[in-house]
Amino acid sequence: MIPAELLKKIRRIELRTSRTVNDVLAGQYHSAFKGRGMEFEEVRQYQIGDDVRTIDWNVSARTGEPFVKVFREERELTVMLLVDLSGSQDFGTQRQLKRELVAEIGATLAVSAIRNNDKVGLICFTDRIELFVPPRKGPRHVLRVIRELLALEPEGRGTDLAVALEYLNRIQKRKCTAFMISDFIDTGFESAMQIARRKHDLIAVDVRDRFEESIPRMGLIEVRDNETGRTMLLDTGSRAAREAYRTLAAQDEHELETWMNRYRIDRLTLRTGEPFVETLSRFFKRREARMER
Amino acid sequence: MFLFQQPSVWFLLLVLLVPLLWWRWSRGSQRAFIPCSTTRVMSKLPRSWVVRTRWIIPALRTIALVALIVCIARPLRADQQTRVHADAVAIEMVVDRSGSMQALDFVRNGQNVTRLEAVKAVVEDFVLGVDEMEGRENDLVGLITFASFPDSNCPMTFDHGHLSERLSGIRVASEEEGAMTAIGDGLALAVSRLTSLQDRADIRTDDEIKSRVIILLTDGEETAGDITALKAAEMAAAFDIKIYTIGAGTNGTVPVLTRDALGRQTVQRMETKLDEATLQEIASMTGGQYFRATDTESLQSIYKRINELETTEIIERQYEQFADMSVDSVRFGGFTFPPLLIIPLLALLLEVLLSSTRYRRLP
Repeated sequence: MIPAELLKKIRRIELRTSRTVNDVLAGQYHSAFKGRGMEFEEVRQYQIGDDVRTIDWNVSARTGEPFVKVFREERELTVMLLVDLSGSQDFGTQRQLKRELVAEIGATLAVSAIRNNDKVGLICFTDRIELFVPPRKGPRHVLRVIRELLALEPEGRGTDLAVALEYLNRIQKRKCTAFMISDFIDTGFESAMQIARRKHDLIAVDVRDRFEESIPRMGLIEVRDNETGRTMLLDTGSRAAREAYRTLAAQDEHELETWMNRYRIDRLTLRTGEPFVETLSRFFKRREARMER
Repeated sequence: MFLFQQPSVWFLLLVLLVPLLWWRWSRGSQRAFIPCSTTRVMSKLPRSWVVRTRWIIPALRTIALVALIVCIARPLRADQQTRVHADAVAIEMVVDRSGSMQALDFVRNGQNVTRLEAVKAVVEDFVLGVDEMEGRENDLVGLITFASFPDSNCPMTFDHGHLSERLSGIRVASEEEGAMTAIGDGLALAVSRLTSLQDRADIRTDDEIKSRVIILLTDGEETAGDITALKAAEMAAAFDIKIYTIGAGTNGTVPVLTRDALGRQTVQRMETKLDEATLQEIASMTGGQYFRATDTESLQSIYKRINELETTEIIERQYEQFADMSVDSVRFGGFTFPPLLIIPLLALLLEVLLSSTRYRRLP
């Protein structure tokens, strides 16, 4: 049974994302993710105004009537959402948990895809595969996806990106568009990611929190790593420590950025507490521009 | 010497609870943490001095706690004080100052002095102490003089300085005052003074008066007074008062210093008569002794003898004064230590100060 509160939440997020998708992202998604090309659909009788170049001469000759070929854009697109639900996502200092942001992004992408009559699949993972929802179409399916994004209680705490990527490679034989929504707090996922990137259209959606980039001054804090459970005492009262933290975090970020660029993986960084639609829209436009080239 | 007040010492057992509290404090699962996506970056940070000295807060708290427990157990510092305590003897000196005390038959420092002067000097030595006579420091001494009438010169007192002052002021009674000898009246007054001692507020009850003694010094026979000497002696005996009697001077004619009508000092020969029988009887009636003093030396030896007879037993009593170290400052080895309670107070204050400023911890 789905509790009433969850239902309300799903409803709200669905409504909000629908509006976003209709208003802000209208058409952008469509343009950004094109199918593989044109596909012949049928021949029909020539009507005035049809391009004469599309007349199928063979059919016209046999029947004695002018017929034209009709092509259809191939849009049998499959969108896979790889969503990281590890412990590190249960964190957020900007009025929002990363997990909540992840759910919103996932919902927005799913709704966008469904609007375009694309199939949407979902892989939720931590240090293992938590849930696999096979790709399917339809508005009812999108609600299912949103529900899982919001309500799934993962069993694992850690993060293993490689496991998720290998799983994707295994189950998705055909090329798909894969959004990996994670905070990329993991190591050793590089080779799996390269393989996935060769096979699919892989987009890394990096979910961050301000706290991960710089710590505010708040004296001694006792922190616990959500994934490993490790605790430590951190002195945020020391300017040197805060500076060192910022430098180290920026360094990590820079390394990831460099690596992603090298392997031409599209990357999109979103932060908790910040409106992500704008960033998403910009990202779609950028992609569209690249695809037209 | 340090010790703890007896029943409270059990509070020290509370110290055993400290490790338990430590255990509770250090139990990780009970503590709150700020959940954090990853400590990967944080663990690479250098540990600041605050982190390295974070033990100071629990250390201060433990110090405060232990010190408080110690304070509850009431540590005491015992100061041993020894006070020499002697049972006091009440001595009433009854000195004759009748005309015959003017007789110059005593020699002091090679000079002829009057009997009274000689007696004054010897009595002063007896009270204040000289050479092997240690004085009557712990005794109540009073002074009564008499001629025709008795006179209480100095009440019974421990203030022997005052007594000797009064003593030096004694003059031989003039003819107008009545220069006769009222031994009985003098003794009766002395008895009355000695028996009323109990009613005096300034006599400390812990200084129990062991015995009461009258030292009567006279040089003649009873010639005046309402009460006869023997009657007074009976009274003294009834009150259990010892009377030592001293007969001073020589019998027969002695040179006496007198003033003539024009105030000139002249030496006249005069007959003096000592009633030794009465004095002896007084002494024997009251359990005292009779002495005969014919010169300064014998007078001195008589007082020495009385001094020996009336030796007081000296008891040393040890007092232990306890200072409660938790609230009193204590002197030890030349240093004055402030009250122990200062320690938990300061430790707690410091802990609160530190833990609410630089060592403030979240959550």
